[in-house]
Amino acid sequence: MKTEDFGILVVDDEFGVRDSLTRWLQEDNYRVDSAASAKEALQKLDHTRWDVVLVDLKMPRMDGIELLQRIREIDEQIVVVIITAYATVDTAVEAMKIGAYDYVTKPVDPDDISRLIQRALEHKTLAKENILLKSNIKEMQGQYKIIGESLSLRKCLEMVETVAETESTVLIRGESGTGKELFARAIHLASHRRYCPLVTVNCGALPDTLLESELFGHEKGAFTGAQYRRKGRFELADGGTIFLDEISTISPKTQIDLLRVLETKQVTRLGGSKPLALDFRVICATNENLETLVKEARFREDLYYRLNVFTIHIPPLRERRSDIPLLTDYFIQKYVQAMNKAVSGITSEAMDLMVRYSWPGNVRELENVIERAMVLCKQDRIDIDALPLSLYTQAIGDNQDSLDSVERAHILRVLHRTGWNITQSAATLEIDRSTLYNKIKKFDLAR
Amino acid sequence: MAAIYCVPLDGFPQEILRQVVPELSSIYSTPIRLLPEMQTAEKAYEPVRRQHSSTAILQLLKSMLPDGEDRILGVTTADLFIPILTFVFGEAQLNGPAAVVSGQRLQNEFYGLKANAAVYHERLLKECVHELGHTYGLRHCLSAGCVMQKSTYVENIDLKTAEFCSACGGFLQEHHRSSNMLREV
Ligand SMILES: [Zn+2]
Ligand SMILES: [Zn+2]
Repeated sequence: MKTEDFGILVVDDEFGVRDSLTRWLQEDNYRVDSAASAKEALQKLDHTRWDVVLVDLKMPRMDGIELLQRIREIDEQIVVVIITAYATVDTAVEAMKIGAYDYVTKPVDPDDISRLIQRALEHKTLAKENILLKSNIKEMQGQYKIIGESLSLRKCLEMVETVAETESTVLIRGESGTGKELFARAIHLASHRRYCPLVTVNCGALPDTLLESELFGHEKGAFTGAQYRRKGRFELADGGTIFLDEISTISPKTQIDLLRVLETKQVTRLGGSKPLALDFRVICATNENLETLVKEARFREDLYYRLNVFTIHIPPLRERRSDIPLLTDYFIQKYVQAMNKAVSGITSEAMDLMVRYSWPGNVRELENVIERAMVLCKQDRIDIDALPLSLYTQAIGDNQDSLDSVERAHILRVLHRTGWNITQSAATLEIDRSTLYNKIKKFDLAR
Repeated sequence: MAAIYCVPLDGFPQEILRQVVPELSSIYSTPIRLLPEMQTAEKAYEPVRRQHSSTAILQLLKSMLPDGEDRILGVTTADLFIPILTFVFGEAQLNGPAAVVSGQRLQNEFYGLKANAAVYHERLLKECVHELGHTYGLRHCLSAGCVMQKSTYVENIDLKTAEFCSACGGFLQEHHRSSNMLREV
């Protein structure tokens, strides 16, 4: 979900705090407003939807606790976070008991507040997603549609259906950009766990220390900076599915901890003492060769066997070229809506380049190319001049930065632009016609 | 043509600022004019926190500019804060003319590590590009590596590049184009 879809209301009687926090959050693209009193806050809650409300505990007249109670009465779904000065931490704990999501002590570390808000919104999204799922599962499946009709893709989808109904751990393998997350989602949605959350963790995106607390959660004070208790992703996935992306990147220490969690289905928060019994299904993904990593002792063999129960290989885009036109049309439609731009399709010359290109970045690269082309496109249809230079160097394995490749691509581009008019192309390139003919021969160019 | 004014604040070394100016100028395709050093303590220093209020500095910088397309970037040695947070690396007026960046927490020395001039230069450049980006209306971006990614701790800064992703770059071009058109009318 995009950040601009989220509304955050800041309630604080101190102008400096209200103003600075509002502006700081606006940079994150949230819809933000503020209120100077509980009364003003209630008015704003009355006619606008807010996902998160940050409430200062100490305010004249109606204080934060009372406001919290009123908000809980209005809408249980609204996430309330208490802001407090050091002296009132006890009251903040009290506030948690009556339903505040969490609290922060001012001044707060930028990183802490930013993660807290992200978590609060995720919490909110999970709750919302579950409601959505219950009401309209078919629509959701449509929304996360995996595009393609090639045989290799259809095989993958069959495997998704086969494994979804089981409780088996699934390992999804494929180059980056092939859409491993979509497949994880498809498995989740086709399983009986679809009414519970699907929680995604990109293991490669977090430094190791953060990953542990992200996965397993932590108690307040578990380490410097742990200002509040926090649920881990496994806990959030209780009843549902946890998707661990880029599993090969986790450290030996986290590998051991993960293995233990998978074996016992119990999680202990960092700094905590009692383990929590949980019910989750694991799907993980990698674009690396785990067998090699096991041989090199960089990935634990026992963990490998535990994860590698059922494997789905997602083919790279170059092995299912017949899906490229479908994907291209799909993304054009997607960005026509998102950018509100009148583009009806793509010229056959441009499509030709798309189909012949090797797509090392797979579907994600294709989407990026279309997004960029949509921005540049000035006509009714996307033409070759809106495509990046790399698409002109077709042969797989070409060094695209070599002078020859760039020259070849440039000449081809000019030829396309002039409709293969040699005189005009030679003039544009500022070379004579015979030189151009020689280059066409040398680079084996054809219409 | 609109310009970006750069001001060293509170004893920030001119020569370090001068090193980022050419890169900033080329990234924004805008001429940069270096202004003489200024002190901000009188307006912005908060004795209780022993830090400078970045919001107060922005107001000070803004008051130096007439309305228009120009931007002003202050770079200070002082540690900056906004009331709710323990610190900020910098602050900017979203769609406004002023931005400020602090060098304080960009230096390895601040974290008890060995000084590294190259790393410091990189971080300073990224933060300057980032805060100026806000003044042109850019918000935080989720694209990996994009300079408009939010940084809440220093390692974050090292993870991103000094460049814009295609979406942010396109937004900026669009901004320049429309402000050029306004001027021609
Ligand atoms: Zn920013
Ligand atoms: Zn960006």
